[in-house]
Amino acid sequence: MHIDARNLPNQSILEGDLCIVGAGAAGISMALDWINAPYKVILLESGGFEYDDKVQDLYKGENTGQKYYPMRSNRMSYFGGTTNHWAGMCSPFDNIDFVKRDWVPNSGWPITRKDLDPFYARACEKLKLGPYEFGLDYWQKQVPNLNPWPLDEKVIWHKMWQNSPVNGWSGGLSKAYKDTIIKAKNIHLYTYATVVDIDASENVSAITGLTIRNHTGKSHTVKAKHFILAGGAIQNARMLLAANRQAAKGLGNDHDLVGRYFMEHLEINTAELWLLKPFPTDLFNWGKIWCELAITAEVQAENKILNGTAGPNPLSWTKNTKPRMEIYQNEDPKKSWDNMMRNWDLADSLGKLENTGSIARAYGFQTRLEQAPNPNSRVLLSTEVDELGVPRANLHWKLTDLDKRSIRRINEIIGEEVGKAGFGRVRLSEQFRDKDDMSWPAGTNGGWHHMGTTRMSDDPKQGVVDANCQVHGIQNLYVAGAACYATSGAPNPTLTLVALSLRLSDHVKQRIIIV
Amino acid sequence: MTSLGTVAAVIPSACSYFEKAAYDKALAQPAALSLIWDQEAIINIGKKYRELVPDEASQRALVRLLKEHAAGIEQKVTEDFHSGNRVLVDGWILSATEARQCALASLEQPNS
Repeated sequence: MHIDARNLPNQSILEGDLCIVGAGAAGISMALDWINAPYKVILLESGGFEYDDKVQDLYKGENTGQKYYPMRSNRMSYFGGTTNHWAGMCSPFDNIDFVKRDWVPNSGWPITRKDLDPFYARACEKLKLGPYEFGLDYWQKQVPNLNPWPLDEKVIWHKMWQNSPVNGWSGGLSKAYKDTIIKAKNIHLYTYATVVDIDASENVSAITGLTIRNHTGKSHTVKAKHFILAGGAIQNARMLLAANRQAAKGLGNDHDLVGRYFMEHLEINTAELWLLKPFPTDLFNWGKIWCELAITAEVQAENKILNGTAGPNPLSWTKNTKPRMEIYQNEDPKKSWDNMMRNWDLADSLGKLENTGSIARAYGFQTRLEQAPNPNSRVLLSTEVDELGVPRANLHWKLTDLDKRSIRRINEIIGEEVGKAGFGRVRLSEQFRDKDDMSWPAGTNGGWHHMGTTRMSDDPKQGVVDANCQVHGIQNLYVAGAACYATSGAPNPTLTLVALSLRLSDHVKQRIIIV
Repeated sequence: MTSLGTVAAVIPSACSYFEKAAYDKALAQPAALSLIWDQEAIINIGKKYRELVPDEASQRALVRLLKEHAAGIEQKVTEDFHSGNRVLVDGWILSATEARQCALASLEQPNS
């Protein structure tokens, strides 16, 4: 069922069993999971079904740290959320991503990869992927010519990816699930319903309601037994921090953790691989499945580095691309997107002209790295407010020496192994040659992946949410999605955030039955 | 021996010392790198290696280091990667042996 909140009488009261705030990857996945359940689910979406400049403007904010994409354009604010711009890239986190590593400060989740496995399988269904299979052996039986490079498997392994057909080019989760959600009788989707405040009980141990507003000037109240914030890592933190009438530092923020530990994936062109001879393989070609080079857990431990992968693309293409951080700088997300596509198309044309001789068997590595959890990398409230009266977000993205050292070492390790195997040579990009250079060039790309601002921990002094994604100390408030990540892994976050959201969905179902 | 005789004996050997060392020209041809670079690139890397390791910047020093592996120099390149005998030259992760081969190639150039 769909209701446009602009058409409701002012001061309406909406009541349900569960309220999900945000209809992006997390919110839609959970709502789908509740269809036909004997409960009324209220799904709130800030925008409508199409891009709306006024609503998008609510995302405007400040960047005071490492150069970043404009706050206004790095997320999409309409049904489907940022899946409307999603590349569809899916791969699960590794076992090591969940464990405490003594060389990675603040690492360690209260859950394991094994805990998430059944939910990964369900997430694959929601994202319309193939089976929950990410082993090279499996895919070699399905697809011909997936020949791995002859590297020592004790050092480097081939990490498989699947590409979701419900990516942004295909209309994202919006196109895939809009009709299903609207037709579901127990799912009440409210569009143009932006949360502007959260009300808690007197002792702030439970949420009693939300205030929603839109540009018509109307305000409404949402009441439910359980509330899940699924607005993305920046907006979730913003909502909690801005809800500071009853808790001075914001909800769930007794230990000054909300907004901290903001993490991105570093995605940087770090090296070139030149093969000595042609090596026929389709393993690295972008398609339904493809592969990147990953460093084994043992070698990560030995070198005290973060987890990361190197994705090979034709060098004739990568050398003609500009850093995305430079070209995705328009405040209008559509214009930024178009700029990026134009650059990629141009690189494609130039690359084809230059792709002769030995460069035809050369690759550029894009290293994809988890960012070390850093309390000083954070989302704060700005002094400015948006049109609906909510303080805007200020993102202070901050990287560490461990991030820089890890990128360099990962590419060195690959270079060493390629040399040992005798099939090529690796050249490090200029900014990664000097071991003592810990600076970050302005072209340091993030993957538009926002994680960690309400990190998960069993200890309320170490995390905002517990292992079930419930905000510590607030019995009916949960956070869904990548905001809960304690560490960010190397792969794009969507598959894992959907899995984690489905796990939360199951947990709330159990609790709602008890209530 | 008179002092004049001593000088006469020393001069020929000094001249011989400064002459270019005799070596198999294959030592200045890094086999793997030749598959991805042209001769100009090999020479450029060779020059950079000489700047990086001035102690090995002479033909004599390079020949002395490379000569003992002449029979199996490609094998030696692979061994370098296994033993950690690597160098970073202009961003390239190279075996020290193949980097020396480039340096030797660069010294074959006039005005090198």
